[in-house]
Amino acid sequence: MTLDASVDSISEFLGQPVLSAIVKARDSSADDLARWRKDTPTDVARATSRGLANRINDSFVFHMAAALDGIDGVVFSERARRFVVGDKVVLVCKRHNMKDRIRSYPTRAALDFWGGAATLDGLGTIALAAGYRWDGELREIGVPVLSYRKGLLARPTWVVDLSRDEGDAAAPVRIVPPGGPVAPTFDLSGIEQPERKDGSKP
Amino acid sequence: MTWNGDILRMTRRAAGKTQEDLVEELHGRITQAALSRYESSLREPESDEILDALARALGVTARYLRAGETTFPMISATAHMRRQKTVTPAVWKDLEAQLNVHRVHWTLLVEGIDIAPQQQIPTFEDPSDTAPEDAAVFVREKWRMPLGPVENMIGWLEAAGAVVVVEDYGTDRVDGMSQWVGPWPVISLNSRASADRRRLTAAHELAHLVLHNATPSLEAEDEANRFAAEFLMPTVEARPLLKTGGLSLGRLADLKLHWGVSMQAIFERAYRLGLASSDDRRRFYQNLNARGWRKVEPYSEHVPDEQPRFAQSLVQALLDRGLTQKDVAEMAGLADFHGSPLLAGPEDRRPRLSLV
Repeated sequence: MTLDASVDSISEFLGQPVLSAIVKARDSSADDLARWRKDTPTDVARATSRGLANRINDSFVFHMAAALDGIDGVVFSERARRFVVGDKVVLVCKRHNMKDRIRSYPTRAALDFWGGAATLDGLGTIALAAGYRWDGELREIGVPVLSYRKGLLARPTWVVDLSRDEGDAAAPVRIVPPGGPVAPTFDLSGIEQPERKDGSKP
Repeated sequence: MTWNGDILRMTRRAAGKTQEDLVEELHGRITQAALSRYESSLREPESDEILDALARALGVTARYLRAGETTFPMISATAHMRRQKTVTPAVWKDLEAQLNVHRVHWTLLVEGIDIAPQQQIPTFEDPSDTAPEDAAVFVREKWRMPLGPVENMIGWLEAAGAVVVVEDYGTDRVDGMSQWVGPWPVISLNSRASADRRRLTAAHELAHLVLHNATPSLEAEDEANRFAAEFLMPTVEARPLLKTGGLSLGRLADLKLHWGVSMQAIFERAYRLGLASSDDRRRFYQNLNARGWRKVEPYSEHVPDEQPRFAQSLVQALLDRGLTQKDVAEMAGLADFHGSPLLAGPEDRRPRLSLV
């Protein structure tokens, strides 16, 4: 198939096993976090935001590696903590903030990688962030997400939520496409309602 | 408060009336010299009765005509307009006046209503620092738009707080115009244009709001075209599609249905991306002309006809709250609810301008 950086093309290329691994890794990480809170609440309470993020990320990477173990065409680079799929797509496990931004140390290598620099002996790869949305205010793991951006600091070109029917680990993962435009909201409370003849208001 | 006659002149122009027409409608209650002084802000209408009569003749309310006393600038000649070079100044000035009228009606309508757009239209202080294509990519990213064709161009503009009006200009020589004075950017599109052409015009007008609102540019039209092409057909997706499969008329028609823009716009995209030569381009236009497709392209009827929705949804919410159409018209400074496409929608509007 011809691969381009569109949602449809990427999701078809990755296939269900990879999409399913992201969902599974997110669910397992959320379970881990819940267990840590239950078993070692003091450790979780003492953890800084960064410390907790790192711990969850370790958990996520571990569960991704476990879920993708043995899947054809997927190579895990432990040193870089990246998953290369079919030599063309590179998945990096990333926490997304509520605006779907990701963070990383802005090293030259990281900037080149997210900027789409040619790698793998000159072959271009498509870099994707696979992970979950993190509510920093509530310190809660949100839905699993997959996103594409051109540049580490850039807003994502696209981001999709991954969804699967609850309680059915074998169900296919659905891509929830980015939404269309949302109309502005308005507040009419400052507009006085006219009175009816009997003095009531509609 | 000081009388500001700009609004009177602007509203008269937008209604397609001459000073003589208006004086005649007032049955000799004022002279043309008096009207001229009102419009030049040299004199205020002598009585509320005269002001009411002027308002009635123009389909607005006295409150609307007094809006010039508090709203500044009342009339702005900073509208961007996508038009042919053959359009006479009289026509585009009338249309510009109409755009200003929409802005004032909207400003009056939403007084006291808290509106929160989901997006913002970003602007660049100095567009010469940013290539139009980069600005288009930036806006798509900022709005978190998915890759692929823009499915609801007008919806995206409305989501960013733009007021969009689709109306009959009475001529097909002007495609659309935009203006951003005060808090509300206003975009008007000619309903006579085909759906695909209107989408391109909408993106073109968005470019003006993004790139040229703060700083004018001598290359504004070319920059707006480049922005619109990138916005509607991002290079990252358009290039692979245009590189393969050829640029025959049949292929361009298929691509037109995919992108929702004209075959000509798609060919120009290919040309600008270096995927078609000057000879290819010459042959393409010869081919179009031979079929009579240069002015009226085929398959436009299959491109979804987008219409603005936000203003109507706001109006409907006001009606649901118990206000009558008369109340809502009054809020907007209109004598008649059906006097503006802003309230009543594109199919139900005031008498249109006609070319004379």
